Amino acid sequence: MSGGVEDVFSQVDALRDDGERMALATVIATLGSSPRPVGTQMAVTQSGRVVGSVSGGCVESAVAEASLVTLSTRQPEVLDYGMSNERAWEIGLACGGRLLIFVEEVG
Amino acid sequence: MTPEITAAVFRGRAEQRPFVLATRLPDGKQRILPDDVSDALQDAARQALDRDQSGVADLAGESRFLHVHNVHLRIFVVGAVHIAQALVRLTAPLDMTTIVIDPRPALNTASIWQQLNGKMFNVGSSIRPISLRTP
Repeated sequence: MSGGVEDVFSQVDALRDDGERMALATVIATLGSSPRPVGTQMAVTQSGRVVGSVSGGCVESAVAEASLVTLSTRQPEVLDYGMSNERAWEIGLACGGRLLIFVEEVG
Repeated sequence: MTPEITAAVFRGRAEQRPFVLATRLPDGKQRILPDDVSDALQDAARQALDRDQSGVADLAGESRFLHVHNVHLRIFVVGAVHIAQALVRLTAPLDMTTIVIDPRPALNTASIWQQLNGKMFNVGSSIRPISLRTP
């Protein structure tokens, strides 16, 4: 199955057993150097628990933050991290490349 | 992701059925394909499945992320002795399912395969030897 060795989606039910609302972040496009392939996922629960990773440590904290925003607004969002982004250095994509991530709530 | 879509994704995965989860960007409206609608998205989903490649497709002015859920690639290894045991160690970290076939009960030992973190199925007399030679 596409999406990498770590299967985050299979853990969705277990995470939801605790009755927590949850957001799912999925890598939808990459350009240049990028550590995780398209389809890779990361789950973030309302209380801030994180399963999986979408970049190998570069943008996870920013994605977790955005996931919590999606949980509160109930609006999905496309996140765009890259060198054109002023926060690229700050969030850790200093080696270049661009990463697009879709964040949605899992109903 | 609506509860209906979430349930359908779980079902497709459990049944090991290849499918595509198409997500419209940025509003997140989703559809699972193949379905019985005949349109450009259906064709794009089929191509994505064939290529085993997820990605964003632009169709009629709308962007959609096509997330391919294909069945695991499988490696069938015939014979369960040294080479197979080494090979299984090599394939373990890959995103594949490895199936070792050997009807000889002496090699079908729990100690070997549990060590390799494998599952063992004893098919016993349900396998009969056949000749692969064509007449």
